[in-house]
Order: sequence, then C-alpha cells, then structure tokens
Amino acid sequence: MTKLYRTIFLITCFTLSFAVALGQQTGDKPVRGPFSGSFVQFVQEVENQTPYRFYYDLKNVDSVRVSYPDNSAKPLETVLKQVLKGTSLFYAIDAQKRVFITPERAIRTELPIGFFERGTSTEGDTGVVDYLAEKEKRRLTLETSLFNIGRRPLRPGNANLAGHIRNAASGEPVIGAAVYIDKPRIGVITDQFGYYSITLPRGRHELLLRSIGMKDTKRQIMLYSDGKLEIEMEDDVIALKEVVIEAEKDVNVSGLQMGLERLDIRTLRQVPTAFGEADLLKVVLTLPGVKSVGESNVGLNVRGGSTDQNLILYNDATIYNPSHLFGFFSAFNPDMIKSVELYKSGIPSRYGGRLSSVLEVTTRDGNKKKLSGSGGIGVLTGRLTLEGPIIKEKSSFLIGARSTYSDWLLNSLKNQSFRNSRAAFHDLNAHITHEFNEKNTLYITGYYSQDEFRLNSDTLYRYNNQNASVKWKHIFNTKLYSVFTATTSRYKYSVASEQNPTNSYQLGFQVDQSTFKTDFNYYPTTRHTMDFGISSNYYKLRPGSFQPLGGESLVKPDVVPTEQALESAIYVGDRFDISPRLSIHFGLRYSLFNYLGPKDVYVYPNGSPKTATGIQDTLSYGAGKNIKTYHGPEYRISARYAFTPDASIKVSFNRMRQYLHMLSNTTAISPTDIWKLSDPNILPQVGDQFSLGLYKNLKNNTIETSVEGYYKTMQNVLDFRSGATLLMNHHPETEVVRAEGLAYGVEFLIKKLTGRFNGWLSYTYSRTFLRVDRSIPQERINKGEYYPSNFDKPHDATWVGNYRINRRFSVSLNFTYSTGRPITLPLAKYELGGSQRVFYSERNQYRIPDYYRADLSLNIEGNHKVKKLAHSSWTVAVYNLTGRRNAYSVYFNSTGGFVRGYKLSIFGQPIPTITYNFKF
Amino acid sequence: MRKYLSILISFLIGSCVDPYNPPAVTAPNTFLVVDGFLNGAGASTIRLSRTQNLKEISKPPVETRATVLVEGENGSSQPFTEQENGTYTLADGGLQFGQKYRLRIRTAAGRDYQSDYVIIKQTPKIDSVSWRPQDQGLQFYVTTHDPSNQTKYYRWEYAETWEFYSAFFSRIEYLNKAFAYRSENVNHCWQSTKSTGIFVGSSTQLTQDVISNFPLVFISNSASNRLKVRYSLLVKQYALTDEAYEFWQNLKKNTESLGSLFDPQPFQALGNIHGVTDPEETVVGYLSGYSVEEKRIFVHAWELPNWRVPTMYESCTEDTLPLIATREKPSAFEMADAGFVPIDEVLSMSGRIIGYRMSTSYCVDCRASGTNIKPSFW
Repeated sequence: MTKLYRTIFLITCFTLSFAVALGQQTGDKPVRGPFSGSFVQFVQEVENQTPYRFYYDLKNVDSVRVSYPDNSAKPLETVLKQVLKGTSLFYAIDAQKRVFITPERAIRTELPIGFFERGTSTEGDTGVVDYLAEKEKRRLTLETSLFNIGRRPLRPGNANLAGHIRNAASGEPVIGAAVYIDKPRIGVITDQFGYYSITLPRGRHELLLRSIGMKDTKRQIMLYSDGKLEIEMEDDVIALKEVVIEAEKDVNVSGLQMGLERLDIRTLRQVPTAFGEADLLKVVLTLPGVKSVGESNVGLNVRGGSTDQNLILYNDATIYNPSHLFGFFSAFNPDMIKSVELYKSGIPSRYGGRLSSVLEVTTRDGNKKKLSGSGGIGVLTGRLTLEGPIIKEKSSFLIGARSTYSDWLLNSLKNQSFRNSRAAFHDLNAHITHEFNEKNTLYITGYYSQDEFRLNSDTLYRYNNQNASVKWKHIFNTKLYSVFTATTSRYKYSVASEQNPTNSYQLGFQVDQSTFKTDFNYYPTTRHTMDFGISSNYYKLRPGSFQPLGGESLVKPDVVPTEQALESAIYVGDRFDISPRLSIHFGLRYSLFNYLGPKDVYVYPNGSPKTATGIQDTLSYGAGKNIKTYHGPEYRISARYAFTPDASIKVSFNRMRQYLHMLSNTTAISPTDIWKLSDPNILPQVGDQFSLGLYKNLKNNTIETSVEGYYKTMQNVLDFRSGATLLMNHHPETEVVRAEGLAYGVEFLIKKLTGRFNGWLSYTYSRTFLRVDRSIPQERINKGEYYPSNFDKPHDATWVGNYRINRRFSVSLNFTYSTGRPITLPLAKYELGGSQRVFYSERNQYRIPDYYRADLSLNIEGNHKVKKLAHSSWTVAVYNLTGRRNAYSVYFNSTGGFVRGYKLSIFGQPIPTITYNFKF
Repeated sequence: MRKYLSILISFLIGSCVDPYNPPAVTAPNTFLVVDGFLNGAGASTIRLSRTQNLKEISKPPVETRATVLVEGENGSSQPFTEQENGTYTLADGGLQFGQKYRLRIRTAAGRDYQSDYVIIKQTPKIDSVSWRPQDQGLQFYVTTHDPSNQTKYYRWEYAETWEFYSAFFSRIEYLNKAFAYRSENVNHCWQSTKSTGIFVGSSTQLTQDVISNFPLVFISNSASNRLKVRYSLLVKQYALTDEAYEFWQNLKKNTESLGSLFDPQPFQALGNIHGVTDPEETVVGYLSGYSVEEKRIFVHAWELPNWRVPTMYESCTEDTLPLIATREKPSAFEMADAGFVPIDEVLSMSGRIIGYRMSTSYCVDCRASGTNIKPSFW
C-alpha cells in the first residue's frame, strides 16, 4: 500500500509548481480532538471520524509527534495547521477529500490542463518507451525534490549523513558506489552492505551517486543535523543486458586504495571462457599482476606469491580449494556472485593471514521484491538459481545449484576406459538476508561443493568444500556501525582404491576452520574514517588417515595426528584526509598464533638438515597445551597525493604474516595438496611489500591509466626437497626447505569501461625468485643462489575488449600473451636400469615456449520487451581462436628404452562453445 | 593414474602431446654412471659409462680400463675383472648376506670414486607370476611375500621371449651367387627383449610383508605378435633397502611418469656413489646389494580369449621373378643381389625352374627380428 501512496505522490509531485496552495475545501466536516502519538495514529483517527483520506510518504512523517489537546470540533484544516506546526510538512486537500502531506511545499491539487493527454499509460502494453518514460519521471522527481535531513534549525558545522544504497529493482545493496558532493570535494564509497556514511558541512548540497552498471543519480539534500538517507539506484537499462560497464569514474585516482581490482558480474560475463560459463577466477587471471602456472589452472600467483598466499573469501568464509574438475571450472557459481575484489597491495588491516593477496567474493542478496530465477545450460554444466522475498522488503533468499553432466558423457562412450571413468562436480549455494529494522540486518550464507573423479576404475578421488557464514550488521548511529561475523570452513578430500583387494585403502584429509570476528566502522569527522576490530580463527587439521578398505585388505591403518591452533588478531586503521589533495591511511594489525597440543613434536639438531633419521628428541604436549607462540605486528600504510582532480600518486607499504601453509610439490595446485600449520619446525611466513603507483584519468574520467610498481620480500616461504613425499608424512618438515622470496614488477593498465567500446589493456613486467636458506649446505638448491620460481613469467600482456554493436549483439575479443614459465630441463642423458634416462639441470633454468591465445565471443540477447515470461541470451564463443598449441608443460620420458621430449598442450585446437542463459 | 588423467583430459578438451626438441644444451657433462649391484648369491656385474649430451645419437661412451674393487666393512677386498663394453664382473665373490660392502672405482684417468657401504639383502622367492586378460591385452602380475617381514622394498626386472613365424616358409637360399636348398629353418624364431621400465613396490603400508598382484608388464593384443603363438616371461626380483627404493622411485618419477596436469618438479635423483678426488663431482647411479630370485611362466595362444593378434607380417607380399630379366621384371639374381630373399622355385609345365618367388628379408627370414635357435628353457 505504501507503494501506491508513494507512486501517486510522486506522479503528482512531478507536476508541482512553486505556488503554495492551501486547502481547496474548507471545513466540510469537522474533526474532534484530542490527538496524540504518531502521525500515523493521528491519520487513522481522522480517517475513522471523517471521509478524508490521507496520502503521504511514511518517511516524511515518521519523526512527527502529534500533540493536540483541544477536544472541540474543528475543521480539519485548522487541526492540520496546528499539528504540522514546526515541521517542514505542508498539506493540501482536494475535492475528493484527499489529504496530501508533502514536505517543503504543498502540492497543487488540480492538474494542469491536458495532463492526461500527455499520457501516463496505466495499463495495457507498457512497452519499452513507456517504461523508460515512467522510470525517467520517477528518477527526475527524486533528483529534484529536496530531502530535509535531521532536525532544524540549521547550525554551522558538520553533520553526518548515512544510509544504504540499494538497487531499485531488486533491493540489493549497491557495493562500491561513489557518494560525493562536488564543492567542496568530499566523497565516500559504499561498503559491502551498500552502506555509506559521509560527513558534510551542514546546509544545502547536491549529493551525487555513481556506480558501475547503475544510472548516475543525485539527491538534493538540506542537511540540518546527523541523519539518514536511503537511496535507490536504477540499473542502467542498457547495462541490464550485461553489456556496458560504467566505471566508478575517477575512483582509481581519488580513492586511497591501491592495488585493488574490482570486478562485477557483468565484467565477468563478457570474458570468453573455455566451457562457455562465466568464470570468476579466469577473469581475475587476466588482471595485471595475477598469473598462474598454466592453462586450466585456478591457482593464482599474485605479484610473485605462491598459490597458498591468497586469502579467498566467499562471503567471509575461507575457501581452500577454489577449483572444480582439475581446474577447468572455478568453485563459484556465476549467478550467485555480485562482485569480486582482489587486493594486491595496500591490503586493509582488517584482512590478514595470507601473504600475497585477498580475493573477496561477495554473493548477491536475493531479490526483496519479487520471486525470480535465472540459469544457464552450457557444454558441460547446467545451473539454476532462484531468489525472492521471504518477507517482502525485509528478507530475501537466494539459492543456486550447479552440476556437470560430464559423467553422463563419459558413460555414453564406447571405450571401456572412459566408461569406467567418472568426473563430476556440483555445488550448492544459499544466501538469506533479513533486515530486522533499519539498524539490524542479518546475512546467512551456506556453500557446499563436491568433486569426484575416477580414471579408468583405478582410484576414486573426492574433495569437498563446506562453508557457512553468519553476519549481523548493527548500526549504532550514523557514525558507527559494526559487523559480527561467524564462519566455518571445511575442506576435505579422500582417495580410495579398491582395484587390488589386498591393497585397498582409503585416504582422508581434512581442514576445519572456525572464525569469529567483530569489525567496527567509525566515521568520527569529515577527515577521519576509522575501522577497528578483533578476530579469532581456530584451525583443526586432520593431516591424513590411511585406512584399509574391505575385509581382504592388508593395509596397515595409519593416522597422522591432528593438529590445532588459534590465530587471533586485533587491528585498527584510520584514513586521514589531511587536505583534499593528501590522504593517509595508517593501519596496524597485530596477530598472535598459538600452536596447541595434543601433539608430539620432533626436535632436530640445530644447523643440520631436518631429516627423518636426524630426529633428536620427541616432545609430547598435552591437550590444549600451548606448544609454540608466534606473534608480530603487521603494518599497513598508504598515502595518496592528488596533483589534479584526475591525476594522483599513491604509495603503500604492507607487512603480512601467514601461519597456515599449503605443501605441494607439484607445479599446479592439485586436489591432494596438504595444508600445514606453523609449528616449532615450520616458521610463519612474513612478507613485506612496498608499492608506488601513478594514476591519470583522461577524457572526462572515461579512460583510466595507471602504472604500479612493487617490490616485495618474503621470508620463510617453503620450497621442496627434491622428491618430497608430503601425503601421510608424519614429519613434513623433513621434506621442505626454508626459502626467501624476492619479487618485483611494474604493471601498466589502460582501461575504458564506458561506451560501446570498452575493455582494458594491461602489460606487466615482473620477476620472482627464491633462494633457500644458505646456512645448511645440504639443503641448498641451485647452489644457494636465487632461482626463478615456478611462476616467474616476466612479460605478460592482456587485452580484453568488448564492442556493443547494438542493444542485442555484442562481441568480445581477448588476447593474452606471456613468457613461458620456467622449467627444469635435462642437460644430459645416460643409461641406467635398462633404459636411457635424463640428467636434470638445476631448478628452473629454462622456459617452456611463450604463451599466446585469442578468444572471441558473441552475445545475443533476446528481444527487449520489458514484460515477458523470461529473458534469455545466447553466448557463442570460440576459445583459443587460433588453435595454437600452447605448451602446458614440457617433459622427458623414457619409453621403450629411449628418452623422448614431449610438449603437453591442454587445448590443441579452437574450442567452440554455446551457452544459453535465462532469467525469469 | 597420471597417464589416465592425461587420456581423460585429452578426451574432454582435445589436448595433445607433441614431440619437443629442447633448446641446444651443450654442457660439458660427462659424469660417471655406475649401473649394477652386488650379488649375494652369484656373479656381480657393474657397468661403467658416461653421460652424454641429449642431441648425441651415438651410444653413451663406456669407461674402460678402470679398477673396480669391492671392499667389506671388515676390511676384505676383491677386484672385479674387466669384460668388454665397460662391464666389470666379480664371479661369485662370497659376499655375505647381512654384511656391508662398498665399491671403489679408480678410472683410467686416475680419479677415485667410492660408494657408501651397502648391506646385502636376501631376496625372498617369487610366489607367483600370473596374468589376466583385459580389453586391450594381457596384464602380468607378480606376487611375493617375506614371512620374516624383513624385505619391505622390492624391484623387478623381466625378460620376454616369444615364438613366432615369418610370413613365408623359405626352402631356398641364395648363397655365393646361386640358389640352393636351405638347410636351416628361418621361418620359426624366438624374439627376446628386456624390461626398460622401473618397477618398484613396497609393503610398508601393509600389516604384512606381502606384495599381492603387483602389475608388471602389460602386453597389447594388437601392437605386437608376442601373443600369437607362445609367450614366456621371466621375472627377476630384487630386495631393496629403503634408500635404494627411494632412489628408484624418484628416478621413475622423473624419467617415466611425467606429462600429467599435476607433475612434480623434476629433479636429479642423487645416488650413493661419490667422488673421492673431487667430492663435489656428480656421479650417477645407486649401488645395492641383494640376491636375485627368478620365475618364468609361459602363455599359449590357446589360453587367451579369441583375439586377433597380428602376425606383424600383414603387409608382406611375394613376387615371382624370372631367371632372366624381361622388359617388365628384373631377374631373380638381380633381386637376390639387392637383398631380396627367395621363398621357393617356380616351375614350368615341364617341371623346369623358370623363376623364384621372392620377398623381403624381413618377411621371409625370421632372424631379421629374432633368433631361430630355440632357447634352452623352451
């Protein structure tokens, strides 16, 4: 009903003039007091007594307290005058006894002549034109009417304005929207809840709002004192079809954050992928400074860091294995995702625990207004999501499921070895949002994914991610709000083989993480933005159990004892805008790590290599006993200086500490990599990064250019002894060597995210090296010199381009070039054990051939009728357009007594795909 | 499993493996390679050779005129005698099980090398060698156990021998520019090969020291004529120490099992032989001590499923050649001089030899692929 009130009110408002109209009819039927309580109660009372009907916006009247003690019968006009005294509200009464309550000025109750001929069609065919016109009117109304905020009178000084920005169509929060005024230049960005808090000089302002994919809008405000303003933004109608992207114009220059890449689902959708489905991690891999060791691999190497140095958060819960089906798909259902943020440097102090980057994936909130769904059918996968209100405008749900039918494909093949194979995955997502009231909102997310593969009835591999998170956001006042978050993450895998009854086994591995954290955001003054909080992570690892399977199995049960630890942190950060040109962010995080019993810890002699035979002593610790404590400060400092409104320089320094490590001796991340906590033998990794960037926007902020350089050192990173066996190892410390890492590079980026033609071009020059601890001669790799790490690819250039031919067709073309990754090549050959064999060089001294790939995709949208059963689109794409056989690896095998060199390419030819997406 | 993985991937997305020629690496790598073992019950053989550059096509250079000694921990010492081709042997040297020995090598250039002390392990008997037909061929398995739970680590090698017939039965041979009746049978032969792969297994993850049906060799029923007539497999079993097992396992990982999506970083497996003259010098190879256990089995073609095993002579054709060259054909003599082999004579209506049926040496003379001398165990 309020919607009706509002709509009538708004349409009427549109035609309003400056003339102050008084009530047209006087004293038709008197009303009798007394009245007290809220305005709504007053209205009810009057409507009960009289035929008058009131029309008003609840927002305007909720602060009005009615106190009218007179109990004599008076004309309504007189009563209203009295009631509305001291507020900014006016009234108007028309011939049909309708009472309109409006802020600022009264409305005219007679419409201009010919108004209806102008046609606001109310029923029948609401074609695009009408639809647009209506929306346009609504938008204009909101943009031109004045919102009074706070309590009169106007006093000098500053006041705070806060609120949420939501999508007008779905009620979802708009993340990363810029909220600012032009004079003086003051601006903020909405956070992950779409919340903003801005401190402005009191008085009249034009508040400007901009966000990716949303129509620019503005609000006229009169700021009397601290107050709230909820704003709805509309989808850019053209962008509705996932074609155009609007940049957060000039945020890269004016924002303090550097090394941050933000992608939204529209950007993700337009990048062609091998199997037609939008893939978050594959798009992240096209960003400057992000590499992987090879195709079909979702292990990210961010600025020279290894794959375990990325904190991957899915609505705040850690994802341990973000890959599906050997890495051909990533773990995130594209229909669930709202946006993804990758922090490469200047990592905010609220994040910790990983050395290189934070990848924060945020799901959408379900549609709060109506039930809708979407889905897609691709070459190997199908997916479906459903969303809608649980309580209209208050709470919503979003659920999604995705699965492959690769299993079915395999089964339908003639070849028996394929028929005996399985390769399947599925994932389920659920997300619930509930707004208790304006100050309290609850978010609940659940995630479950499962992968399973068996190759020619040999061994069955299974892995599975289970995550849950609960977030409660509480707004204390416009300047302070907090978020309480509790999450759990579980990652486990199992390997089972039943081929040989004597040797049948089942191997299991599991990581459990529970996290609790509290984050506060505080906006004390115009020039300070603070955040602070505490967090605690409890880890429990079951590093391996090896059990017999079946009655005949002679397998000896073996269990690597569980290990547990607590990682806690406290942080504070303050952004200080010293002048409009200069801002500084100081952040400090202090992390504390306790490795807890029960556990037997091996002691190795100092200065000699840690080997299984060299164990000097075993120390036993009881349950819950603190075995080892590591702690240390993590500094996060950054500064920005703006030369002009469209050019700035930024510097940042950050230190990160990491207590949980992934141990892997394969080049690519594999499903059977193990995770290991820091313990007395494995020290925490510490990384320092210094970065410097120059940012310049051209052509009215439509083209962004930037150059960022970084220099990074890493201590206690782990590399592996030759031939390391990590699975089911009771003392993995004997298989790893401590190394120090060094990485540096410079990233160039030119980005145009608006217009029919959009995309980005990036080039990165970067190097990354490792050097093992030189104090122990036996552990030296490459004579203790620096050697290139597995993902050292100096030159890397990416072009992502999209051209919108018209509203229904758009074309994307991507190019990627990078230097081949380092490999260890054989230097010589010899005969041993009846066959020729190769003699290997020092680690990573050669490179595989350079990588080059082009992809093309065409998006075809259905017709643009606004009202139809379902919206659909087709994506036709060709991955690896030139069919280049890019080397994934180069290797040498001895077969039939001779050594031969091979080049393995994953995609040997162009891969055409077709995907159908729908929305209802 | 890695192999299958690549197969699956290749199916899913059309991946491919191409030959690769590495960049020209010309490092002066001529490291000493020591291949062999100390036999606790029989003759020991050690072969000394050198590494060579990848691009070289010649056989690896062998190390001759070296002095090779075995030394016991108790101070005993016995010399190996040099045979041809870089091979050095020690006739049953009375090496004791459970005792430790090491190898000392002095090359002709006067450089000294020695191995670590290694224990001589007694290898348990092979319980059985068995086979099981599968879709594409025959899989052989080895089963063994050590009741004393001492062995734990095993390595196997094998030798294959199979009987076969060439495409044509030849009664005639061409000797000293003349055709004559053949005295030998060159239609019926035996071919032998030795294993080239590394087969190692361990029972450490089991409650008993048992190796049950360890998959050894797989014989395709369509790629060779091994299973056409009769096939024999000789399996040799060696007991290893855990270090030796690790060496062979690593060597296998790095030289045989690469090419999957999840390859480990390849590296040089380091052995237990070191330079004495220059301790930094790299020596390739691992010295072990053990006895050898053998077991031989035979498989007849009639024991197998109804497979169409190729003869490998499917493309053989014969030609009739006249005694005197005509406009169309050269003479039988010319062809025989060029290397063709006669099968039998072609007679005229009157019974006079007018020509010979001939074919290539490969198709007629089975000795092109094997030997016509029946092995002693056959």
